[in-house]
Amino acid sequence: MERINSTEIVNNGLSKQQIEIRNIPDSHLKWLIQQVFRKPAITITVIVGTLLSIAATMARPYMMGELFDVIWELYLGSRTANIVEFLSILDIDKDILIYVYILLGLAGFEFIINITVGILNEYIAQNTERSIRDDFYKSVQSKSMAFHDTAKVGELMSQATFDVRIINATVSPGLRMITQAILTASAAFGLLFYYDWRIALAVIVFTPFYIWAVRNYSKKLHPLTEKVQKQFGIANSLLQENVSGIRVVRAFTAEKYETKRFSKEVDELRDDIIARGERQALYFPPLILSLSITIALGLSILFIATGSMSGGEAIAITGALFQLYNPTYMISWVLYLTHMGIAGAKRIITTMKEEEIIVEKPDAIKFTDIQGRVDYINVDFSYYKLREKTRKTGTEIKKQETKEKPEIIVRETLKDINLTANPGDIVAILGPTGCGKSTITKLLARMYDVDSGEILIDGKNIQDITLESLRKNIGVIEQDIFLFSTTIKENIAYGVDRKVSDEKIIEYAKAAQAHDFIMTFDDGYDTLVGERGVTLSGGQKQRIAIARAFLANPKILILDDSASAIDAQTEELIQKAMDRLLENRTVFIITHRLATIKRANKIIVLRKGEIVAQGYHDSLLKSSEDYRRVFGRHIELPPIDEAIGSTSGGSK
Amino acid sequence: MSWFGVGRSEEESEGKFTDRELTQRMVSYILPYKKPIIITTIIIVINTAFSLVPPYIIGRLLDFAVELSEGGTPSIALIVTLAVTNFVLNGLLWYLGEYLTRVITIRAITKVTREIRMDMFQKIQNHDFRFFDTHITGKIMSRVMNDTDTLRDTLFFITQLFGNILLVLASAGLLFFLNWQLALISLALTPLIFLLMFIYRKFVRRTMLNWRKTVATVNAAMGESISGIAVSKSFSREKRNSEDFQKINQENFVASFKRGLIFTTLWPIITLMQIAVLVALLVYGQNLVVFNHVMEPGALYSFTIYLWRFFFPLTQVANFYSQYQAGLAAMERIFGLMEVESEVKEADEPKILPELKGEIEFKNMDFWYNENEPVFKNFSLKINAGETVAIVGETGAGKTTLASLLSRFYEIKGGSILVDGVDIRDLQIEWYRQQVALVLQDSFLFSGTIKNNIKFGRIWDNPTDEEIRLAAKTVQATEFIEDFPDGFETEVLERGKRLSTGQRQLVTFARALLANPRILILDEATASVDAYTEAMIQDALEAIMKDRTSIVIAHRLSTIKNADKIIMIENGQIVEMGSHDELLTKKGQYAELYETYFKHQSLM
Ligand SMILES: Nc1ncnc2c1ncn2[C@@H]1O[C@H](COP(=O)(O)OP(=O)(O)OP(=O)(O)O)[C@@H](O)[C@H]1O
Ligand SMILES: Nc1ncnc2c1ncn2[C@@H]1O[C@H](COP(=O)(O)OP(=O)(O)OP(=O)(O)O)[C@@H](O)[C@H]1O
Ligand SMILES: [Mg+2]
Ligand SMILES: [Mg+2]
Repeated sequence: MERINSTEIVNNGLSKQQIEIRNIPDSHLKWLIQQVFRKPAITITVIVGTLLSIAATMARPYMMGELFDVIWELYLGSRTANIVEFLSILDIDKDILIYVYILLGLAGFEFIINITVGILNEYIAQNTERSIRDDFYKSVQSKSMAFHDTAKVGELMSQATFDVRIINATVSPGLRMITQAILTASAAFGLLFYYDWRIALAVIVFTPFYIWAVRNYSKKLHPLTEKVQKQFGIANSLLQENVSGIRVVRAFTAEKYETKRFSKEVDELRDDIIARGERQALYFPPLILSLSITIALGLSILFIATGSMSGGEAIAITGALFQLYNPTYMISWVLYLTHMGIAGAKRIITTMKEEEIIVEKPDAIKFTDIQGRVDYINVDFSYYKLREKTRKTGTEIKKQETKEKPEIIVRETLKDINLTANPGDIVAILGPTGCGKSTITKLLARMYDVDSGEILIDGKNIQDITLESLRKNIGVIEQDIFLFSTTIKENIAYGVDRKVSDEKIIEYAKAAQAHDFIMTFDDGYDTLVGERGVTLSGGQKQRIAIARAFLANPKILILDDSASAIDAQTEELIQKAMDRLLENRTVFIITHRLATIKRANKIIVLRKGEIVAQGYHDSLLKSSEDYRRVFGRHIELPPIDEAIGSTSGGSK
Repeated sequence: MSWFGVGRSEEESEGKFTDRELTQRMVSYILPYKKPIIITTIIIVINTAFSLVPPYIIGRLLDFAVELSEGGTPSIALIVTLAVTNFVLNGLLWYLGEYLTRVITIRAITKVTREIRMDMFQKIQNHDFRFFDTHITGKIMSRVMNDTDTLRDTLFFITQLFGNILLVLASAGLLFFLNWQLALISLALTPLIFLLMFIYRKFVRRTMLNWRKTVATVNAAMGESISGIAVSKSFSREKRNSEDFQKINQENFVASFKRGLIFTTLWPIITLMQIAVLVALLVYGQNLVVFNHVMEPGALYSFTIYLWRFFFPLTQVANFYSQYQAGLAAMERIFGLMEVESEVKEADEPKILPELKGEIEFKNMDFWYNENEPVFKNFSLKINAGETVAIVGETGAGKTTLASLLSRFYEIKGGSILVDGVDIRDLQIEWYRQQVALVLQDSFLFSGTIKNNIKFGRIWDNPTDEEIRLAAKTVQATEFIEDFPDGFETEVLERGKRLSTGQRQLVTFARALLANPRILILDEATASVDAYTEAMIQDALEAIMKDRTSIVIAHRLSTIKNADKIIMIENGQIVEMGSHDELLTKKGQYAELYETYFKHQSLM
């Protein structure tokens, strides 16, 4: 972004992103104007060009007036002379001919200017749309997970397409219209004054009334416009959820229910649009204008009759008066467009201005060549703040009744976590569903920031490291696999830089036991997978994700239940390959499967966000009830005090 | 190439419909609104008729005033009357008419778009999964929300069309009435403008379609990158994503710019033509006035004013053509989405059985997603009513597919699936699906409360809170739910992001149980749940599964040991079948699998 001077940043201790966010003006109109003037030279050209084109357009009635004066004169002259002679239809008076050339010249000029200005204006409009969308995208990408957890995908999509597009519409006819409206009106007034100040005054007397009407219109229109756009977002996000969850909808035959829900929102959208349209139709400044014109007309006739005005002048005046209709209607459109633009801007800015980002310190260091020692020191964390926010945006987005809870019980997700992993360690994190296992690992990659305490890698606080270098060193195979709707190859290569050889991809696919099934597909590695990977089986997705994580070659690896959808035999094969792959890495394994646990150097047992036991398998098995619970009842465990190794459990 | 928004979504709708078909469909949406259109037309005509009077009056007034100035007494009363008439006709009535047409038009247009949107939504609810496998949500959405929106412009032109045609005819008539020679000159423009529009038409259609496509791609890219943000972040891909997005956005920029160019260049050209005609008119007119005295200057002036009244509707009518092309482009996309042939079709006379016992039989079934990659070939399996059957097999063997087929998510390619001896294709789909509930391998929750998500399992008949609690209790979810300050009213956020993966799975499990189905399918229903909770769930399930047919798919073999029958599939074939003990003694593939699994799950 050009408006930020990067040298300033270090001084005030804010990160570049924070500054960018804070630099977005609070006034939506101001921001909008900033956007329109992104390429000031072109924008100004458009304005100047529009001025010229209006000048040409305005000159036309003037010339017509002059022309008719001449015609009138000739007409009166020739009538009194009463000459009767044969005349060809091509006869033209020289005086008139001049005006004809002028009119044609003006038209040519107008044509060229209008085409040029039209193209430039179109460019600005499209450019504004593009730039805002790029910025918006970048901004959304940089937001923290806390933002994304509560964001509605469909809502953001609607901002990125619908609202940004609307700003385009504001610019494309809007910019010229507004220039045109102002200029036409002032020129018309200028002409009126030039011809006859009495008539001009008669019209001007109505302006306060007129302005009041315009402002009233504008004020009433704004909330209606805003509502339409908001409702569009709501309908959009409902649709988004419906389509994403279509399998569930279908499985539980909820089509009718969903249709009802959607139709409720669509009906509301319809009503909102109609309400806005009706308000727009009520725009009555034209009525005020015609009243003033009528009076002006009456006056001019009076003036002609009394000899203080010529017929030609009256025609010019009438022309100028009628020119006022155009800006009057244009103002209604300009206001309409501007309000849409502002409403769009407001929605976009609200998103862009949210300071939900993981702050990268201005003096953060780039991490290279790490060893992989990880320390959690007294780490506390809760999603509580997040929940608060949901409540707020929830009400903002929808009229969801705010049930003010009398007290909010702050439930810490993680409490006083202390753990250490040495380079090369395999740490297993165990515990019941929802105890905070995934959360611990998310903190390491700074998906969320700790509330208190600190996390160190190689003795450095992760908050002092650049985000990119931190995350590049941490690989995650997430619990819910997400694949992109592109080829298998590109999915595997997602974590590495653009150029990666096919051999390398295949090598890692083989290690993850993915190669064989990939080759059964007609298109092999070029097979396109559906959205989120829907066209692959659960285990296939997981294996691609395993290949993806290993190919990125991170020093620290997090395996979050990464074999849950894989059968035992395949898992064993992967395990074998992994032995090699896990070498020299610090690994955190979350699993409900036991084979892996045995290989861990360290086992952490969690319960409701607290570490309740930590140590080695043998000792834990003896000492920790929580650890024993991990195994469920399918495996007969030795009694808590019995020596280990005497029974291997199982039903065999 | 950038990675997102690509998908398998081919734009198959292109050129699928002829213009005639599209027009017919569009007309069928507009037809119910013929009354508003007729009223609009009438108002437009009346309004214009009124507005035709003032220029004439003004012309007359001026002539009159000029004459007076040459010696005469001005009649104030006459002047005032004329001016007031002008105001009433040109101002008041015109305003009223304008107001009415606008209101009527906006109502009609908005209702039509609403109807189209709803129809699209409803159609989507019936598309088969093949469609959703190959289409990206963002692109589908773009058609439903954005393309219908662009249709509004076209609809607007349609509502105004008849009024404008009448105006063209009427004002042409008037011009002839005033002066036929001048009128002929004015008319010369008409064929030119229509020719121009005809030339533009093709560009309009093409650029429009291109533009709509890029909009959809942008939408899809936006949607997908937000959904996948966690992955992008963990691989630090944000910057590259932005670069990739810029490319997609750039394509949209180009397409949108081209479209804009078409409409911005059109008007100057038309204006130029109009002025050319005006000049021709003046040249000839001055001749009539000055040399031939067949016309008064005031009349000539009036004529030029009327000329614009003729031009305006004329360009509107002509412009209609290009707008209509733009509309057809949007229509093409809209109907392209609606008219996807669903493979899963309801029988002509769908059956509803009085009671479903739950006997299932796959008979020589064939199925594939892609022709060359068969998933099932000649697959046969019989499951007795009330049995619990476990399906095991390596990943990608076709277990989930089997569940999908049983739920009629896809249509089988050969053979048949019988439930209680009736082909499922003969059953009423809605009724049948209500008898089958499944826990999908991917847990999907809607934004909303936990309660509403569970309720979704039987949304069609409003389950009580008690039932919801009971379902949650059965899957051991009550504890964690009640741990939340808001309990069952906890808002889970989109896709259930507020919950841990295991918690999410429990909620989907509860949802399926609430459905109280005759056939229960559990596809890795507890894969993300800890072993202890899983064991508890199993205890609770025993009672529930007793009197219904259950199909359990699991990689954790510990959960299926008690099944009546274990079926091992490989490459779409049953390789082994029997109870756990039988299969172990057989020492076949299952025994081997179990061995491995057991080795994994044992501690030493
Ligand atoms: N994005 C979030 N916003 C708010 N709360 C969350 C979020 N993610 C998880 N939680 C809550 O935090 C707790 C810990 O979740 P976490 O995902 O760490 O559990 P887990 O141990 O990984 O469980 P599982 O075994 O089911 O994956 C849970 O109670 C969950 O409801
Ligand atoms: N929607 C789809 N479109 C195309 N191919 C698919 C689709 N769903 C699954 N497949 C393919 O069909 C085969 C069977 O998949 P299925 O999901 O039934 O396997 P599964 O036995 O459930 O495996 P897992 O244990 O990994 O869940 C796989 O090769 C998979 O890639
Ligand atoms: Mg987890
Ligand atoms: Mg599966």
